[in-house]
Amino acid sequence: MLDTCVFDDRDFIRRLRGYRGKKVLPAVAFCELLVYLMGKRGRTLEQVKRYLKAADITVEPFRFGEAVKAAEIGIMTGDFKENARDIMIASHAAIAPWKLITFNKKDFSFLGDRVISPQEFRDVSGV
Amino acid sequence: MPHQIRWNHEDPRRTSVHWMGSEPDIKEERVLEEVRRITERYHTRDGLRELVAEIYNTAPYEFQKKFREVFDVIYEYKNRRIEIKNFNSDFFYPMVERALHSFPKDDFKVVFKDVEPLREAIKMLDFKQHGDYIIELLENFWFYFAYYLRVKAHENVPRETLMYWKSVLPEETERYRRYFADIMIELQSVTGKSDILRDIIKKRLERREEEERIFEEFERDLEGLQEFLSGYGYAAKG
Repeated sequence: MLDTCVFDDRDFIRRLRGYRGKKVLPAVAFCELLVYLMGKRGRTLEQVKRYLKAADITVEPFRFGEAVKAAEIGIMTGDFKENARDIMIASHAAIAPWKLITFNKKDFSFLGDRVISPQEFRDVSGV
Repeated sequence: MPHQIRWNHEDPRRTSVHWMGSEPDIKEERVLEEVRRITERYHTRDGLRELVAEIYNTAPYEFQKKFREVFDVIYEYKNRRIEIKNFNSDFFYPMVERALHSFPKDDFKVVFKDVEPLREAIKMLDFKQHGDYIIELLENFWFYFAYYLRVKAHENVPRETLMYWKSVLPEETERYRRYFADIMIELQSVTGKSDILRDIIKKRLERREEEERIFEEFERDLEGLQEFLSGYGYAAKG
């Protein structure tokens, strides 16, 4: 499961194409990506969808289970007001088998071993 | 099944079961006794196999049972618990062929389109040389089929979950076909000799070129994303 920030690392995203497992982008991270690519770079929704398809990345909806999990994390950390988007992204990875890949591990420390860096992912997956 | 039992499949990765009602009239010791009986019976490797076999006895399609038997054999063979002469031609391929022949094509028309390419690939590959690829291909086909199977054969699944399961079918189909074609490309010194597989390889290579073009375009656009995010309350990459 990918955090938005990893898209800034072209080498990682390219390598990720060679990974055959499921690659998922949480709905909130997808929203952030759209704000940047549509708002700042003038891309259309269709173009962004084509890009994700080319990368074999699927968008995972924010559903009932994630909402409950995000609420639990928000209550536990006490900083939902400041970190609502991070918490909503993290809620997808709080349940096995998914892990969140991000450059900002410390922001997701409440996930424990369910958060890894792109480098750690490369080391375990071999991509 | 008692009506007080509520199944929750809301999270596709986890099923929760709740008892909705007053405390059941059963002694705790009786529950623990049953748990002990089940764990004692099934906790060993053979016990687990027995449990899986019991579950598959109630499977709605003959194909499921035959395909599982293929897995049983290949795992045993791979772990060398059995030794068979001419394993590929005399035993393995005919077994796969029998399983695929029983595929319920009328109930799974989309997946059925992928049966012939799989059969062709297994026929072309040799288990001794490409055993890991064959296992991976069969496992991935199995998971792909399971996405469709759960929509067709299920119990106590809420309508919302079913809608979600149905909604992911097109992308899972595409994922499987992309995966299959990529493997055919990796093994094209063998798979390229088949007309069916050569066509799949050709189309996938064309698609890869298109993907490469999209990637190059977006790589430029994605530069600066981290900085943009940091302006929205995100820490810059350290």
